[in-house]
Amino acid sequence: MKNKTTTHLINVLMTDTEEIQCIKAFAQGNTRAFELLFLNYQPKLVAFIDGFIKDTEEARDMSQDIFMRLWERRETCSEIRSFKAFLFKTAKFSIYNYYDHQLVNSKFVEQMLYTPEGTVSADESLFAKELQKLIDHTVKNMPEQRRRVFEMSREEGLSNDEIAQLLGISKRTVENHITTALATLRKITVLAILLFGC
Amino acid sequence: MNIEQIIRTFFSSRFSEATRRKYAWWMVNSLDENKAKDETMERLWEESLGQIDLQTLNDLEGLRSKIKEDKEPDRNTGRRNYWLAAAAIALIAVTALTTYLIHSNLMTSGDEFVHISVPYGQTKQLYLEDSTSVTINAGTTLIYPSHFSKNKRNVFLIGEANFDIMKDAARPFTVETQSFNVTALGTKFDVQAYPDASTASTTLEEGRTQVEIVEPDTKTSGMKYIMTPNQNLTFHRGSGEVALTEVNANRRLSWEKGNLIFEGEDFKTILQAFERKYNVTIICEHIERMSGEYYVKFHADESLFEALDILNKLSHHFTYKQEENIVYITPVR
Repeated sequence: MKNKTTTHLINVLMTDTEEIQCIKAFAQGNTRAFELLFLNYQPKLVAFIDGFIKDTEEARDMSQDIFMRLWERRETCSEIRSFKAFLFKTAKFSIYNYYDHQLVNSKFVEQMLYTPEGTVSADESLFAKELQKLIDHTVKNMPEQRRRVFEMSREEGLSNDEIAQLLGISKRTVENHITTALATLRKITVLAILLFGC
Repeated sequence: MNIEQIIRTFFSSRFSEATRRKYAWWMVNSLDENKAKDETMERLWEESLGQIDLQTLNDLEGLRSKIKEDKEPDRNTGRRNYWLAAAAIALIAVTALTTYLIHSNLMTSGDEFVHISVPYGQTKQLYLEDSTSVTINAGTTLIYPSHFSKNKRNVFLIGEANFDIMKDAARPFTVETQSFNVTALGTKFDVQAYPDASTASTTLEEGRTQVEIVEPDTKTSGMKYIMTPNQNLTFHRGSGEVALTEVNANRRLSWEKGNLIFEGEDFKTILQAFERKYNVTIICEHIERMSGEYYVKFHADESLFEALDILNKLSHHFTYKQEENIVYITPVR
């Protein structure tokens, strides 16, 4: 119990061994144990997700979903050794999943083209400049066809239909190249984590 | 900026939607940099500190009502576990916090509450914003707003603490507990209100306090008592009875220094104090055979076994054995 006193609102009353006992009890359906885990970790989870998605309301909903799915799959959780590490993996995949959806549902490419200049703070324009370097680097290292699709979209302003016709591939493939290629793969991984706790 | 700097900057800033989407795109597509991204995310995860606030409690409430539908009955093993004790304290604290937030006039949106829990086997001393000094005993939770309001200073206590209040006539200081509220202007006193105890008590060392019984549905609910130095007020939670007695406050408050002093308490109360001080679980069979009132002082430097030996001399004899963190006590027939 040494050095577990905190002056923050996160209330750490458990040692690692106690946390493992707590997880075991939760896996057997003990709601008190589950609520204790919730109180210890949910505020951290919300703060972490919010930092990456910049939408506190949504971060709360996502955290709620994570805990709800945990509860539904509680029997598979008995072997979790570190709840914190487990939650981190789940949170990370939720964030990537959110990004996937954000990209699929947005006119991202158009926004890349027409980002208005001068309407953002100095801090942001510095950040955007640095980010652009990393993006350019990423595009440069893409597989040939994927890069071609991306450049046609971004630099030549062609629609997905037009690119599909020009390259003789389906529109669906174009979309995958631009945004969603990894989304499906990731969804499977999220499921695996929740099912098997790996 | 390297990858870590980019991620950290994004994490702690609010940027336009266009920038956010670019960032999302980069996170998803920069496969080469996955390792660096993962490491930074993990560090940010370690550093992330959330705070329990009203919204957290609402979310917990929402989750509770959802899981009620497919909840299996709790498996009660009948044996105390450390984490279960911790869980109980945390949940009582949260329930108390909810009550406190709802009933307290202090609650305005945006108020943040600090929530300190001191585990068994430890004590902690701290200063509040107004320079009031608080010494918190083992197994105790103290909740207070990060900023006191203009006209009052309220805190919520589950467990035991000594308060040395900074004088401020314009802002009375109130310690709220489940059983009573103790209000003072500038004074030194102790409040003991453990959730698992049958009594709650307060002892005044200096100054003047007013105690108002707030435990609902008891015959003394709403009654107020004015205390003078060296008085102890003990509230019996079952019967609602209140006893005001003269005591040596200095002795009473000396748990701060690690001493344990009992003046007429029962056997169970002493065992509970041992559990908190020595961070063990004590299981006593046939505790009803250990009836009686105890007047005894245990010194700070005594070990648990020295203390048990002293207790053994004073009471109906018992034997004890220890298995890991659990001490079993059996009265001798």
